[in-house]
Amino acid sequence: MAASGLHLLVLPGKCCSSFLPSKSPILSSNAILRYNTTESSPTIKKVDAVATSSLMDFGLYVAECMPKYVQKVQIVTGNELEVLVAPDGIVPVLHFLKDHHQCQFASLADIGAMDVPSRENRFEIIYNLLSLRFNSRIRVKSYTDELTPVDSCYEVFKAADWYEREIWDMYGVFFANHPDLRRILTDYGFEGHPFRKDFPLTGYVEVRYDDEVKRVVVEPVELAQEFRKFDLSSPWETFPNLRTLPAGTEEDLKATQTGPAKQ
Amino acid sequence: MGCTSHFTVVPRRWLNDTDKSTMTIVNQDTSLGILINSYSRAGFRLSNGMMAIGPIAIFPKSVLSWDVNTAEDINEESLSLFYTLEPKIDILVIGVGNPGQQVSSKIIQYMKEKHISLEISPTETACATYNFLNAEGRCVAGALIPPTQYRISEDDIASTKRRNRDMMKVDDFPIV
Repeated sequence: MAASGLHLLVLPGKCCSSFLPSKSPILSSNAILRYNTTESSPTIKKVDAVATSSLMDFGLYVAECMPKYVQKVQIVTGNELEVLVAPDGIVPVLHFLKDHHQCQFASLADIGAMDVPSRENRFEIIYNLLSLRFNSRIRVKSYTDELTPVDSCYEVFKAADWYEREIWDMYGVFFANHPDLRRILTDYGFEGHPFRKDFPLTGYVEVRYDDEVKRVVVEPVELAQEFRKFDLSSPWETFPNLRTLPAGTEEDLKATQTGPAKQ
Repeated sequence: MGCTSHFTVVPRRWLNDTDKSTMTIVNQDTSLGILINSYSRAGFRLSNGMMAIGPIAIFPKSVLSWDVNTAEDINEESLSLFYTLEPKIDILVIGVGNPGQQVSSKIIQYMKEKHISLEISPTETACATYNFLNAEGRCVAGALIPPTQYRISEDDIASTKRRNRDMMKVDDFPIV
């Protein structure tokens, strides 16, 4: 890394930097340059090809170990491994990832869901796992529709308790064998599942205090003004440096069912 | 017996001489109405000292025995009391007994048409839900069926013994 007109020299590992006048070019090979750099833009995440390929190898290993349930393995946004499984295989795959010696994903970071109404199985259930031993993360994704229950993974990860309650409350996905599946975020008499795409932003009911009956009453929602949808796109280009970046594509590494994908 | 008392901690300002925090047990506050202290296979113990045997319909100021066998047997007639009351209740908390029991979906639909919100859950959680909804001051009624399976803690066994006045007796098979 060569540069001229160096203003600030920052050496990693030291807390203080020396402020040099512009004529003295003392550089160390791991200096981070702030100005006049010939490097590509530092705001774009660099893809580490070695890490990505070892991640892919691990994903293929998981697919080999659980061939009955794993349907697809993909790497998204450069360094996130996703394993797509059939809904019957959620608990076996999670059990494998938690207990197998080469995996040891003992921490369940999150369970989320996604509603894509155009699909037949409209809900996607997403489990984010973290391995403390190997310092890596993995995502297990599965799918279901409105009526089919999914097996709860409470016996594998105790942390799944409230996450699954949240998904039941917000999406209406029923978890079989859950110890206590009831609402967690919505009000007690609330009807509907708010995170579904067909549930409106304003909701269906509103609450107000009625002085006549001296209680809080629930009434159908009435908007004082029409609902406004703002168009937030600006006529000016916001990222001129990224003009030449390609749009997200899905690339197949091999002829098998696996491959990296940028989404 | 399961216990469902609730505790509220009210810290006083440290400028006071006493410098103490206070704690009030919601179930002991009689102004909030009748709350459920504990439940068992037989029935429910209420905060006004009464014990109700069998399924109950509970309101802030009164409690009635409810003529229903299991959760599946709940029909329009058994819920007729709740929607004919004035002032109309906000929420009806239904305790179905054991966790697996279902209430028929026709009944749920029926109550929706009558504009009564339902909160259906196993009795263990329904008792607590009724308690704190009442303590918050909402118009809530409870329709509770005693559970046959529930978790017992050592504390429950001890308080039962204390009530039966045989704390000193060592029991091989504690009956709750």
